[in-house]
Parts: sequence; structure tokens; C-alpha cells
Amino acid sequence: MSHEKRTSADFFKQVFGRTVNVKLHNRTEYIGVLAALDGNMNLVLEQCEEYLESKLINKYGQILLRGNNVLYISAKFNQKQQQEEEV
Amino acid sequence: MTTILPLGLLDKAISSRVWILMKDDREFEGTLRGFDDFFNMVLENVIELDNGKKNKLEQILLNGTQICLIVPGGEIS
Repeated sequence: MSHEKRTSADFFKQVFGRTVNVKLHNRTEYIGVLAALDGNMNLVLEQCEEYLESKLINKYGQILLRGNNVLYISAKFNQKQQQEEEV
Repeated sequence: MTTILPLGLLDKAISSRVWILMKDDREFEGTLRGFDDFFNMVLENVIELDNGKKNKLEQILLNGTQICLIVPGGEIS
């Protein structure tokens, strides 16, 4: 199986409109539909849920997340309800 | 002796497993799909280790600013 190098630009293209899980440096997580993303990892998420330690603490219709806070942006290929496995 | 640049080493590690240590004692292990000049990384089949808790992620874009150490072929402790 040959793999081309996939950079952040390719990741961005693939991830638009998908449900993503964005984790910040302070361990807060946001699960929502990715509406916009730029090179600084600034994000616009829609229909977003905010989780701290796996507990839902807030819901937002639309948020702008400043990219300097982002630890990672996680995408799932299946559009199933996201489940986290913790060992 | 040929010169190996840091990003050159990373390029060699593409498509293999890498172990990444962050500044705050978090660890990631995953298949490296790509990276950029800022060490932002695209990883697949990722295991995240945070305070002893493990989390599995299918595909992530990991922010490079907090990355401390990258071990090609390494595994989470």
C-alpha cells in the first residue's frame, strides 16, 4: 500500500463538515461539526458540546476557538456517536 | 558523514509508528502520516496517554507547539 505524505492541509480538506473532537491544552474537549479552520488552528465549530473530564458542561450553537489553545483535532471516519475508550 | 536534518529524520519515519512526548507529560503513539515545518503532525490509529488514562483516536492533527520529543519506532510506556 503506497502512502503519500499527508500534511495538515490535506487533513483540513478531509475534515471539513465532519464531526470532530478538539482537545485543548487544558484538557477541555469540544465535539462539534467543523465549519472553518485556518493555518493557526483557529476553528469554528457548530452544534458544539463542551466536555471537561468526559462530563458535558455546555452546549453551543457556534463557537470560535482560538488555535493557540488547541492540542489536537481528532476526526472519525465513521459518523457514529463518538465513544472514548479509557483503559 | 552525511548530514541528517531533523525534518529529514521525520520524513523517514512517515508511515511508521512514532512515539511523541509532549512538554506536559502527555504521550501519543501513532502512525505518522505527515507533518509540516511547525511540527504539526497527522497521526493515525493513535493512542493518547494522559495521567495514566488511555484514549484511542482514529486520525488526529496534533499541534506541534507542545511537542518535546519524537521517537521513530517507539512505543508508549
